[in-house]
Amino acid sequence: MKDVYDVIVIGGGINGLCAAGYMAKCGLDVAVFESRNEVGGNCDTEEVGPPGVRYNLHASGICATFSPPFEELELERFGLEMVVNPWGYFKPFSDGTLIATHNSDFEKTCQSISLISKKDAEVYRELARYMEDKIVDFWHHMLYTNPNPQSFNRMAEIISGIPNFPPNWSDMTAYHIADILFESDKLKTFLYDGMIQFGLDPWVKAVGSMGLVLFLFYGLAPNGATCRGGSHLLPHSLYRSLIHYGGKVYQSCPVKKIIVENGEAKGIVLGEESVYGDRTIIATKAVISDLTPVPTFKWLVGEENLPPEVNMAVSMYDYEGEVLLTNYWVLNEPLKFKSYEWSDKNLDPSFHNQAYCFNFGMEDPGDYTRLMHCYARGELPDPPIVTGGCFLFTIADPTQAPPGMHTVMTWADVPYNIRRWGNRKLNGPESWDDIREEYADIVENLLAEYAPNIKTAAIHRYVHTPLDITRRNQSQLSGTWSGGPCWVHQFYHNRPFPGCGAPRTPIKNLYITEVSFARSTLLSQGYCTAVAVAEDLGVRNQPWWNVRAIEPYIRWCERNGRKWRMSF
Amino acid sequence: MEQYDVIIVGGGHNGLLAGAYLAKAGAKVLVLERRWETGGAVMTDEQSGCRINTHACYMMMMDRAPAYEDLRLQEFGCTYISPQPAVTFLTKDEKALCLYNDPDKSAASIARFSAKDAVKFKKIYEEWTLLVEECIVPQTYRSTIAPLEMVYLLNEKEIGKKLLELSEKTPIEIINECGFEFEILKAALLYLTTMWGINPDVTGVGFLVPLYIVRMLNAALIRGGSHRLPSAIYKSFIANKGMVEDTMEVERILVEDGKAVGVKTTKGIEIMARCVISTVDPEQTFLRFVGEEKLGEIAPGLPDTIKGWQWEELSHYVLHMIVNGMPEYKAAIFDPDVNNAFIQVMGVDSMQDVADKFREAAGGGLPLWGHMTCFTRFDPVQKPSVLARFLPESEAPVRGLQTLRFENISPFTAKEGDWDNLKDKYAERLKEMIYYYAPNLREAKTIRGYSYPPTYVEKKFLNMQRGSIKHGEYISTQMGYFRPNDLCSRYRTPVKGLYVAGSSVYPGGMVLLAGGYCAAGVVAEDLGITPWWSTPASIKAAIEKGLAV
Repeated sequence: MKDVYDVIVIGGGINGLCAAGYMAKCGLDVAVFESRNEVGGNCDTEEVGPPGVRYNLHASGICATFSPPFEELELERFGLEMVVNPWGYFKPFSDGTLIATHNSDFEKTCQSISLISKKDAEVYRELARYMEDKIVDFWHHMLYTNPNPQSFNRMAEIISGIPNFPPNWSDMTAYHIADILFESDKLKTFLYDGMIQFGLDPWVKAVGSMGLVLFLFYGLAPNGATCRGGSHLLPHSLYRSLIHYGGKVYQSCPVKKIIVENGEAKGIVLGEESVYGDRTIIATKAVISDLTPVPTFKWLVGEENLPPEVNMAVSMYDYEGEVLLTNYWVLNEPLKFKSYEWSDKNLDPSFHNQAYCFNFGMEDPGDYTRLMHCYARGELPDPPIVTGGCFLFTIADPTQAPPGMHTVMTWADVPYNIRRWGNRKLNGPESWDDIREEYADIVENLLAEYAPNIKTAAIHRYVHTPLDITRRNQSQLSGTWSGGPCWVHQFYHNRPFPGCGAPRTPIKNLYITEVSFARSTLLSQGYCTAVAVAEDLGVRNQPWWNVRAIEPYIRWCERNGRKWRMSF
Repeated sequence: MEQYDVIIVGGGHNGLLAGAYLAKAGAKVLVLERRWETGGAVMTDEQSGCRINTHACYMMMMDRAPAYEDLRLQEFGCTYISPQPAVTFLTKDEKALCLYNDPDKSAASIARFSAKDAVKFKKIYEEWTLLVEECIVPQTYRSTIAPLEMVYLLNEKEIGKKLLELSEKTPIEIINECGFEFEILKAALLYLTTMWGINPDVTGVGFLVPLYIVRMLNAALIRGGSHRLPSAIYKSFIANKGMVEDTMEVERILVEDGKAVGVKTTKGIEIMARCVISTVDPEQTFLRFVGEEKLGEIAPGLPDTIKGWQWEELSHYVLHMIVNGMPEYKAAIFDPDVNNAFIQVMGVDSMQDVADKFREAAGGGLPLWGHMTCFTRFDPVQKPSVLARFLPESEAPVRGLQTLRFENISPFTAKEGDWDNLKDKYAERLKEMIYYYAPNLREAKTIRGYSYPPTYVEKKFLNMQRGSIKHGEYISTQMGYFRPNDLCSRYRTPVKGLYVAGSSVYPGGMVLLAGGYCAAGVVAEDLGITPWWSTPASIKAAIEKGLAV
C-alpha cells in the first residue's frame, strides 16, 4: 500500500464508494479506507441464518436507478441488476382494504386510490399531470445539486405551482398540506408512512411539506426495486466500478485521525488495530469523509483543530429520531395478507404475488404523533409503530432464498435510548440485548393481525436492534440509519449544521458526504460530494459526466420494455 | 461475443489464485462465481458488529505459500498473525499443556509433566520440522507424480525414506512410536492430526501427522477476518485486468470435439474461452458440467471413477458466539499462557479419549469435545472497537464484545435426529463443557449464538457435499497422484482444455494456496504463456535434493 494518494475517502459506504468512483474515473489516484470487513455500510446482505437465505439487514428499497451514477459509474456493467416488481408499495388496513402504487401503470395507482376515494384519485391525477414535464428538473435540483439559492428557488417555484397547494407551504407540515389536498385518512396515513420511510417526518414544518411532494412523485415508484441477489449488489457494483478504474479499497482499515495542518486536511492516520497498524497516509488533494458529523469533526479532526462555533454546532447534532428495529423472518410459504382477498378481487388478480414493499399498523393520522412522543420520552411504542418500510424480498427476487423459502423484513420505529416500556423501567441502549426478542414478538403479533400466517409459516427469525446498528458502524451514532434526522436545522443547506457549506467543510480540502438531506440508496450524497470535489480540483469537465436525475430510470424502463410510471 | 483465454469456474481462493497468476501473465481471464461474494469458504460474516469467520479461519501456510509474496497480498490488504502459544490442551484436573512454534517453549511446558518427554519432543519436533519444511511443504507447491516414481525418488534419501515410512502408518501408530509417557502430550498430537477429520486409524496419509502438527503450531489468523485473504487475491487479480462475474452460476462446460471451449451459465449466456479451469468438486465438474455421456465418449471409465468419489466420513460443527467478556480459563492459574493461546482444546485427556470421541462421532454420536478461539483477543478490528473508543461511557454496550468460535469434528448424519433440531441443543451441551473450563463465560452475557452444523456447510458450499470440508475424504486412494484420480491430479484432464484446481485436486483441501497456484503453471505452459513468477528458493532446494519434482 502506498503512503500518498490524490484523494482519500474515509468510509466505504455507498456514498463514499460513489464519490471515490467518480474521482477514480476522472483519473485521480484515490483510496478508500473502510473500518469494516465489507464495503457498503448499511447496504448489506449477509447469511446470518439458514444457509442460502440472504438477509438484507438494512437498505432494502433500492432506488439507485434514479441517480446519475447508475449510468455514469456503469453499475449494470459491474453486476448490478435491478428487479422492479409490477406493484410497488402498499398498505393494508384492518378492514381488509389496501392502497397500492403501481410501478409502470399510472392508471392502476389511480384506480387503487379511487377504490378508497374517487375524489382523492382525481386530485392525485391532476397533481401528476402538472408534474410530468417538471419532474426531472425538480429531482435534479432537489437531490443532485448541492444546496444553493437558485436550486431552492426553482424547487419552490415548482412546488408553489402544484394545483391546490397553499402558497405558504414552507410554513406547514405534511399534516396541513395533506388535509388541504385529500379527504381520505387512509390515503394520508399511506403517504405519511412513505415519507417517514425516507426519513422525512410529516410533523416537521417545510421538511414535511417538501417530503410530501417528494413522496407523491417519487417515493411511490422505486420501492418496487431490489437488486437481484440482495441489497449488497449495489455497493458491490460501486466497488467493482471503483477498482476497475484504478481506485484502491482497504477494508479493516479504521481511521483514527484526520491530519490537519494550518486549517487544511493533509491526510489520515490509521488506527493501530488496522491491518496495516498505525500508519500515516497523505492525501495531496482532498480527504472525503463518508462518516457522520460527530466522528468526522469531533473524533477524527479533533476539537483543537476546529473553530469554537463548529465544535458547538457539532455538539448539538442530533442523531436519534429515525431509529429502526429490524425483524427478519424466513417463511416456508409466502406471507399472506388478509387484504389480498380484497385486492385480488378489486384491483388485480395477481396483486398478491406482485407487491414487494409495505407498511402496516398505523391507521389514523393521529398514530404518528405517538411516535414523536415515544422518541421524546425514550418510550418503547406499544403497540409498535411499523412505518419504516417492510419488504417481501423473495416476491421480487426468489434468488434471495433457497426454493421453498421466503423472506420478510419489517422495520419498527423505536427510540435508541430506551427508558421505559409501559411501566417497565429500562436502562437505555444496553437494554436492547435483553428485550430484543420480546419486543420483536409484539411486532410479530401486530403483523399477525394483518397477515396471520407469520405465526405458522416462520421457520427462522433474526432481530437486528438499534444497538446492533451502532455496533456495526460506529459512525451511525444512537442507532441512526440516516446520519441523523432532518430537523429544519439539519436539513438542506443547514446539513449537517448551519454554515458548514457541505460537502465542503470549514477545514480546507476536507469534504463530508453528510450533505443536503437525501438518504436511502439514491447515491445523491456521494454524487453531490463528487461534484464539489471535482469542481474544486478542476476535473469536473468529463465527457461522460452529464446525466440528469431520473433519466437513467426512464432509459432503464425503455430497455426493459416498461412504461415509466409518470408517463400517462 | 466475448472470447477469453481462460474461464475459471468458482471464485474461491483457488479460482482467484489461478486467475491472478494467469492475468498477471497477460491472459484474459474471467472468474465465474455462483455466490454474490468471491472467496468461497474463506468467508467472514457479521452479526452485531462482530465478525464471524464462518468457515475457514486457521491458516497453516500463510508464511510458506509462494502466492503471498508473488501476488503482493500484503499490499492488497491481507496481513496475518500467528498467536502463541498456538494451542493449549486443558485437562479436567485444571492443568494445561501449551505448545508453541518455538520447541524450547513447548518443551518447557511439557517438562512440567515429564522431563523425559520434553527432551524427546524437542528431538522429534525438530525431525518433523525438517521433514515438513524440506519435503512436504515444497511438494505442496509442485505437481505430483505416480506413486512408483515417488517411491523411487524418495527412497534415495534418508528424509524421503522417513516420509515413506510414516505414510504407511496410522496416526495412532506414529504417535505411539514416539514413545511419550505423558498422556496429554499424546492426546495433543493426535488431536492436532484429527481436528481436520483425519481418521486416527487410517493408513496411507501418515505424512499429514508431522505436517499438521508442525504447521498448526505456526497457524495464522488473517487480520480483519478470513475474508481479507481472498479479497486481497481478488484485488491483485483485478489490478491485472482480471474479470469476475459473481451471482453467475455455470450450467455446462461447453465441449466440442473433445475440447472445452467455454461455458454456458444458468442464465443461458455462453462465454467462450481457450480453456476452462474448474475449481469445484469432481462430481460437479465432470458429471454436472461436462455431462456423463460426453465424458464417457472422451474418457471411458472416468464417469464411474468420478461416481466413486468419496465425500468425508465426518464434518465440522461450529458454534459461534458473541459475548461481552473474554474467556478466563481455570487452567490459567496453572499456566498463565493458557489464556493467550490461539486455540484451547477441551474434552480430551488422553490419546484414547481423542480416538474414542472421533469414533463416537464417526458412528453418528455427538461427543463433547472440541477447540475454541477468541479472535478478538488477537485482532480487535474484528469487533466494534475502533471508533467506539471515542464513544461516551453511556454508549458502553457498543464496546466490549468478543467473538468466540468453538469447533469440533461431528457427524453429517447424527443418530439423535436432524441437525436443524439438534444444532442448538448440542450448543447448550457444549456450552456446559466450555463453562467447566472457563467459568466466567457462564456469567457473561451472550449477545448472539450461531450454530453452524454440517448440514449448513453442505448448503452453503455445493463443493462440500455431506459437509465435506476438504471436498472429499483424505484416504490413500484419493490423495496425491490419486486426487481426484490418476487422470486429473496434475491439473490437466482427459478433456482437452479443461483443467481442475480445487480442493478435490492434489494437494487437497485446507487453505494451502496451492491448487490454483500449481494449475496456473500448467495452464500457462499449455497456452504458451511465459510465467512471470519464479519458484521460491526453498522449493528449488527441495527439487535439487530430489525431494520434490
